[in-house]
Amino acid sequence: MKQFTLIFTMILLSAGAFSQGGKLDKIKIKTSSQCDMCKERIEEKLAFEKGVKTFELDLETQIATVSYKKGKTSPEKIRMAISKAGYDADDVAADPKAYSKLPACCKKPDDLDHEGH
Amino acid sequence: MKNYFLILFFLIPGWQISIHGQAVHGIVSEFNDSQEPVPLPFVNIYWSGTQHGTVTDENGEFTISRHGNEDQPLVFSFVGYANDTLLVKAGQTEVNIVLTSGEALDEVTIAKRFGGSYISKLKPIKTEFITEAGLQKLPCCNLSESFENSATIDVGYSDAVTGAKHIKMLGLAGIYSQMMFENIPYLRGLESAFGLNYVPGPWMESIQISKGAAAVINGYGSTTGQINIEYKKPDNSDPLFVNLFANSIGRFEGNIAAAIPVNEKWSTMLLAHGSTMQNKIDRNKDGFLDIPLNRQLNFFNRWKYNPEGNVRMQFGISVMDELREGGQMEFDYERDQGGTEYYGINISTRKYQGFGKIGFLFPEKPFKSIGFQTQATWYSQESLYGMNRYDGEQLSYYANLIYQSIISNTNHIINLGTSFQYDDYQERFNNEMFNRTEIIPGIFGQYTYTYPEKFNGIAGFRADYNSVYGLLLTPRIHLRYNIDQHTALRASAGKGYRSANILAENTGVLASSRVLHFEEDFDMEKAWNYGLNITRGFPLAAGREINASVDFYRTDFQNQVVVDMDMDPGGVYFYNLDGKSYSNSFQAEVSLEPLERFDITLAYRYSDVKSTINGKLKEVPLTTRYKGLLSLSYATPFRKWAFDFTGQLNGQSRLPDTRMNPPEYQLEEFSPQYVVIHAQVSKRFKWFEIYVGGENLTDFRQENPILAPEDPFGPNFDASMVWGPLLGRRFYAGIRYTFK
Repeated sequence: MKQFTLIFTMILLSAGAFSQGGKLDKIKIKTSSQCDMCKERIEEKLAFEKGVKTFELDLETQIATVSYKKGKTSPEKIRMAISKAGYDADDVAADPKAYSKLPACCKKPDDLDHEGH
Repeated sequence: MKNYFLILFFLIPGWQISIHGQAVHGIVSEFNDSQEPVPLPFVNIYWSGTQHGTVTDENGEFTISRHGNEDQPLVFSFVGYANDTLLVKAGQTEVNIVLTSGEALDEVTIAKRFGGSYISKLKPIKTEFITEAGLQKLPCCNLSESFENSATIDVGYSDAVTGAKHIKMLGLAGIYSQMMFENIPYLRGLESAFGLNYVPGPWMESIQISKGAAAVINGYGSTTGQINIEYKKPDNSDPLFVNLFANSIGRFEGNIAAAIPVNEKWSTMLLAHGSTMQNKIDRNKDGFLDIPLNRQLNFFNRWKYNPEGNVRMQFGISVMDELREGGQMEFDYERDQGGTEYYGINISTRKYQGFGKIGFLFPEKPFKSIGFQTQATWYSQESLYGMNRYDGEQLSYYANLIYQSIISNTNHIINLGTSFQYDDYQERFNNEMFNRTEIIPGIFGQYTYTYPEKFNGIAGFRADYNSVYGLLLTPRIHLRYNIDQHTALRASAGKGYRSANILAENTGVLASSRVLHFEEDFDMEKAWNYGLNITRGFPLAAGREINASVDFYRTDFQNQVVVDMDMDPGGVYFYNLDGKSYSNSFQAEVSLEPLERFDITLAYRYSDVKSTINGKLKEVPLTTRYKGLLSLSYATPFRKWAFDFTGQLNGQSRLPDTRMNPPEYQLEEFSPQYVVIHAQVSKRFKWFEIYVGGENLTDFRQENPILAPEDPFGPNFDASMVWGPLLGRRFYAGIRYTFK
């Protein structure tokens, strides 16, 4: 029983560890995402981007909603991260090297006509 | 007649065009490996919710008429490719689309977000998927420990001294289900005794559990179901993955998975595993180790050839070596083996295996293919169980050739093939030899019919000629009917066969003083299996769903090798079934995600398993009557923190009859009901993840799993009657490092 309480407390404490009392800013960014794989790739890139707290992506509108801590990061840095994942972010173009590594479903249809010839 | 139909089929759309005037045309393509679009013929196209459709020609082109002036969704469907629906706007006359291959790919992507396990809605055979994320929620370590969150599969110890584990599906021994490694039969014959321990958890990408007799393509073996294991693939894994694990009783494990792209066409993957447990534990103070000492080394290497073009090839080898030592605390193998001073267990196992697969797609006809799979295995086990020596050696070879094509369109798929299985078993138990060679060529045919969005059916038949048991005919049928877009109803029926390997499948009795009585020559085990399943998704807000599934399966044995432990506690009798033997298994399962990243699964299974043992229809011993499962998972955004909890309620089981034993060695008639709880917390960092948890938190153990431990060479010694956990509460910690 003692160990059970210990674990339970451990879980509760860790839950408290990331309570966010501070203010979060939110930003909406238009991306070039096209499928579920895109959402995952952007998510992975943003996961350890300092200051980024949450990420949502609406595949139909291609709009990503990111909440972040004002002091730790900025809209520019977030756009750069999305670009580094291989996707356009508002006016920031996708990083070409990262774009070339994307799976087929994530690439823009026009590019597919020209690629590989 | 067929040609007449085909002509009509292609004429009708044209006919409708001339009457209604408006049409939509376009090209359907797919990407080849150089990312160039190539046309896809024979793709089914229809306006969603209607029967009005057409099919693309050899150039991937189609023309379909339309009615009305609104935006309408047009569905593109092709077997083996993800369905796609495009909204064709009013006035739009051209639609070009690229389909991506891999129906399974669709489901796997969804699973990654579910982060655990899910029941497929697409497959005609009821299939439960456990993904890599699901495996990572579990405390430990290899395949035998990967089913803690599944209500379908029970895992138990075969005995209290060797650490051998077995699974049960539909209340029946795991030997009645077919274990597969990427669709090649696996862990067969002698390997079934300890085989679950030879598949390390971190090597696996997913496990698919399907219930009921499986499709005929893979053989006649799956009576109760099929478990397909997929290892990580070189073209689909991170370059380097390392995992280290340790727990509070002194078990250490290490795993490495390295995916190396060699060049454009070749990629290779190396999987390595090492584990050791050298800590002697005897918590219940019965003089015996609670779990044997163990060390294992396991390597797997595969090569994949994926050039542009129509050929795919894969081959691999694996090597495994394991040593287990157990028995009494003071037992020393060098000094005490063969003697009666101390009781000991010493099991030394070695396995070599190689496999290869080649797939050939007919050019211009992606629906036509030929696949060939082959596997060769050499397995050897040398073991000591007290005064009993058991040595076994198995050499097996398997080959399977499958041709797939369509009849007129992809709604009618046929598979034809031939298979070959060679098994040579050489076993020695004390001074008695048990040798057997089985050569089994077979042929099979299977027809799959699809009525888009509504119905899917597979009918298959196979004929095998077993050199020992004769001609075996196996019919199987699987049907799936979509009552509506959220509800799938499945039914299946089929026959299954098994040839029994008595000693290897009952190693538990070797760890006892029971005298083995083989009453007669054994016939092939035969059974019929029938099942019914309903799976439904109830849509909730925010695109989420509650998934519920209810099923019922009945298995009826026509012949079975009965393992009679009731006749006399000093012996175990093996004979052919004379009477009824069956299993009725009912299961209900619900899973939902009530809050973002918070998953709940609740399941309940009830089994009624009876067999005619010694002339009477009785409950089969050591089979839990029911099982309840509750599993909770919560993850914070980006899955930085994850919390997992599993609670199992295990029902009673009948224990073998011990009324003829002296009073101090008599057991209750039934084992008690008990609860097992596991919990884990994990934290993800950029390059690695650490996890800590507790296994069996309620510390429930079967207190005295060994009967007469003080007199192991006496007539009442029996370590085979295990119904519950042998190890109590354990804590563990591990780290997973992923280099992308």
